Amino acid sequence: MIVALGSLLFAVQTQVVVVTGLSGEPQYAAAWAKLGGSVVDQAKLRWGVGDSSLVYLSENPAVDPARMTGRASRDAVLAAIGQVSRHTAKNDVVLLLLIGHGSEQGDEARLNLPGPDLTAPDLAQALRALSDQTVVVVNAASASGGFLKALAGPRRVVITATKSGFERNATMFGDFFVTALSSDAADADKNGRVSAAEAFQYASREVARAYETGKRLLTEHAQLDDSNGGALARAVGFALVPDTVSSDPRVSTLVAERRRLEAAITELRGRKARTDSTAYQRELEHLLVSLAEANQAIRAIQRQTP
Amino acid sequence: MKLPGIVGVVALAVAGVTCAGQESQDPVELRRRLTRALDRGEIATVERELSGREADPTAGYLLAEAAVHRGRARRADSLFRRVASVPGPLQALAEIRRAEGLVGSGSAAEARRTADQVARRLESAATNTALDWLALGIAYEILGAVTPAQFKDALSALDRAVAADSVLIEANLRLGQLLLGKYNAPDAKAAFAEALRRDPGNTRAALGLAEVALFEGRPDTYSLVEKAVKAGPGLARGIAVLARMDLDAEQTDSALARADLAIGLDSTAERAWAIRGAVLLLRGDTTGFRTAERLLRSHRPAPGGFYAEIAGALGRQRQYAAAARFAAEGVALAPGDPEVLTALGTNELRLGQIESGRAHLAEAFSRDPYHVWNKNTLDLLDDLAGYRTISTARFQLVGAPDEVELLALHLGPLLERAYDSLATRYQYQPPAPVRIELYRRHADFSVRTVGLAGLGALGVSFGSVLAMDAPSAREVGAFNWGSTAWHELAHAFTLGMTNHQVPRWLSEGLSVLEERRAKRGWGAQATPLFVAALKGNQLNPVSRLNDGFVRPRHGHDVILAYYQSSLMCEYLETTFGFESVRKLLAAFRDGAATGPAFQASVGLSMVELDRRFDSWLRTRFAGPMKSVAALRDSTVGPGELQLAMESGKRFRGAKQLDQAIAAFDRADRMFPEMADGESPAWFLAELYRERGDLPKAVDYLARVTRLNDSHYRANRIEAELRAKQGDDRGALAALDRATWISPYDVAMNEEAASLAAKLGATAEAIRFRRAVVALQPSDRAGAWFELAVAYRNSGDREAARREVLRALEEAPSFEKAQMLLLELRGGRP
Repeated sequence: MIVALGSLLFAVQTQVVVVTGLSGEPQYAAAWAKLGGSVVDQAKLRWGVGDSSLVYLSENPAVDPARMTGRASRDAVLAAIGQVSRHTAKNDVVLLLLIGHGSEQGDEARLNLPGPDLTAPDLAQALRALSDQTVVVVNAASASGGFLKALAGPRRVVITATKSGFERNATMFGDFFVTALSSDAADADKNGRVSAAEAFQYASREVARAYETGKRLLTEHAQLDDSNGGALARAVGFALVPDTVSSDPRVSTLVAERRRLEAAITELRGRKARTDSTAYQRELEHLLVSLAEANQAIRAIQRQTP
Repeated sequence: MKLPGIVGVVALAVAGVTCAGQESQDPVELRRRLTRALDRGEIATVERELSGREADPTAGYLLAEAAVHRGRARRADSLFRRVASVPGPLQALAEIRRAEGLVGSGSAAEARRTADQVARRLESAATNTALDWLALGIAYEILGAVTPAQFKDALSALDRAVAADSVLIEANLRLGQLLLGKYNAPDAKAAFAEALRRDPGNTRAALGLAEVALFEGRPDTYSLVEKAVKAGPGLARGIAVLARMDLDAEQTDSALARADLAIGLDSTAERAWAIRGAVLLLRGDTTGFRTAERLLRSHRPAPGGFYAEIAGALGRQRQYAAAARFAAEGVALAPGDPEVLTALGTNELRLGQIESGRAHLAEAFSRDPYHVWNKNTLDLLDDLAGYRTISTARFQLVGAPDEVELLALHLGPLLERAYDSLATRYQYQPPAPVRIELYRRHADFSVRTVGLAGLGALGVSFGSVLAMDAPSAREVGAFNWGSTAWHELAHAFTLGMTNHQVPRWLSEGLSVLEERRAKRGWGAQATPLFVAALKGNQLNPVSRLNDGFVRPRHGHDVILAYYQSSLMCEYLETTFGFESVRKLLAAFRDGAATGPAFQASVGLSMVELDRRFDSWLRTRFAGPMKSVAALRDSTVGPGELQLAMESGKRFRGAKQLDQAIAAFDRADRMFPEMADGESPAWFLAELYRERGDLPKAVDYLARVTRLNDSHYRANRIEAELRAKQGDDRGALAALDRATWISPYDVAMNEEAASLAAKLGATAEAIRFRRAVVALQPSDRAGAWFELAVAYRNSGDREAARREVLRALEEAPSFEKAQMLLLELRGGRP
């Protein structure tokens, strides 16, 4: 299936479901509450997500009643997904972020929640209701690797913190992934949005660096599955600053020119290996300068507009 | 006749051995008793007892073994031949022992033919005695020179010999030697220990254990060898080992005397001849060396082991070029000898002749595939092929591809500065380029240095080839890689200007002193252990400073020796001027021994120098000596300082901050120069920080970082607090110091770059921004952009343009980079 990737960049709504599981220790409860809260704040402030499109389930909702919307039981998670599916429009983006401790029993990967665990098949079943949406599932729990295969499918980006159920140590991936969602540093192409792929790469790299710095054996190997050869993960993203739309026709023209130049640069980079390096550099600089001038012109118009 | 009760031992039916008045007429008992005597070095006893009985096979065999001990190859050959010609229990053993002698006398092909015949005969025999199994093991050893896999057959045969006769100690001893020869120290140790268990007092077994200790670098090696030699003074091998150890300790008089003593006992003892030769070469007596060489070669025409041993001895004296030269002579004479090929390859690698070294090691390994050192080194060279080299004016920096750029960025300029500084000070310039290899795995550095993992050192200097741990090889805070590189480079000067004849203690002492001079806080500083050792009279006098490096009695001796040596150098410089150090080095270059060298440079006898230095040390450390308990052997009792520290820690644990501060303050006044990571100053800094008294915290942190070059945390906190207080310059300096402990923190480099930019230190800003790029951060476009800004600020617009284009190639929509690009092209941003 081919997804109209361009549509993901513009004019889609985002729905967010955050789940933090059984902590076991106060230190995890506190850390996960902070992570979940951070995602909720970003969703509201930067991605334009309204309260009705936000679900935040946790082990103990009393910890942060302003943000947490309910208790993170298996049934509540599945119900929340059902609710989102009823309120979301075609082509919207749904981000499902799972934070916690995971486990694997038999071949069944699980997220540990109060009451029955949430299993990968449970979740796969529930996500069928979102077949018209682009779904980004991030399972940042330990032993989460088994969710990857179970959830993979069309219009899905599935990210797990570990490569299998055997990586059972508490993970660092979630911390860095959430950091990435609001970080300029993770926005590798500096387009003002952090794509799922950029956040994944940032988090993976920082996890590896943290383990290396601590001289510890890397016990979590994050994975990403994309139903579209990586293109979907690169296309679906989260804004670092709220999107603004200009109605000035001059801006529209310049934006069109900007898109043309960006496409030309992408095309040029694609044939870098086959191009003489001097010619490549000359053409690249020419295109980059033109792009910079187009952006400069857009900014100038926007400054003039009250 | 006593019949042994062990299966496989055949009673010796030897007729006609009737020597009235002898202790035992039973040939088995006779052989066992006199073999024990031989194993204890009582050669003359055996010769006396068996005098005139050469015709008897048992006596003849034992007399042949005695002749081997004395190096009388022809007599041994004749006696073994006679025994081998008579059917009997010793026939095969005598035949194969004769063949072993042929190897030494240059008839290796004939020896192998004999070994092959003996092996075939014994392999097809219906039953073999323990002596036959021993003979078969030796036959396989001989054949193993061309068919390495037969080493395992030799082990099996020797194992069967051991199993067949519990009192046949020779099989255990052979097993031990064979295993040690293949660098399998644990199994060799077990074999020698078993021999000693079966025959308590067996000197050869005790010596074998001592040689295992030597191989393992254990501190008790010398005493073990001495003990073995004392128990068996007639064994040349033990005396030759002592000679080798004396030479390693640069005690050439003693080494020569012992080598000669060993040669007197066994005129074919290759190791003893090699030590004699090495001493003569180190003294510049080439004629004497050639005479020694000629004498040995009159017995052994192609003594590969002799040249390998010489190369080893010279290599341990850091005479790598000479070592390679003599190893090459050995290879010319014995082209297939893996031992001498190894010596040649190893020293070529030390000289930076990587390809030739690799070829010789590969050749050695093809002939001896059980050689662990060569296997490790060849594997390392394969890895090294993937390393990248970055060159500066006088240096080649070699490192792992993902970090060499970062390391070279910091280290290149430092080494160039070090070279200039040291060249001025020593009035000497080592040959360039100097190659420095930075290993990201300590085990690789260890293999590069000694062929095996497990070396405790951080770096090594072979002259103009240096190798060291990269900062990534160890835990953060384990060492300072900048001061280590400076240290190793200083060796290149002291080795080079003395033709590698500088004593180890002086070279190490000067290197540590140069570390201290290089940067604030670098180099070893005073510790309570050192003061305790001084107070307990546990430090070596100058005349025996080398012992601390090559014959440490305790684990801490080496650490103490480094610092003490550096203080000696400091004493010389401050008392007599640095010219005296240069004169001292010149005297060593000219071949002077330590005493005359000091006489020539400072005009003092060793006794007087020892006295004055000791007095200088006691004056310098008079304060802390009052509060530190004396070191006795390897233990220190609790002194006032330690009690104050413990008290401070207790109060701190109980959150009684005032009392904790008072206790640590008391400790600090006792020993303000204490450099340990957990010094009173460190605790006081922490306590004042907890109280929010930042100026005081900074004062104490500054002391910690001035005395300890590896305290990463102290530097990071100092930087943070100084920045908070507006002391950007101090903060930047602290971050720079932290970089030399661990350069891998992206945020730290970014912070340093920002501070440098704020201070207008554009070169520093560029260095730190380049470091961020080299660290391959997640935000690569951002890193290139900031580097472009740093270049722009320095006025280098072309470099700025290059970097901003890199940023935009990665992230075309990067607004700030677009603005900079337009600015650099002359347009308004």
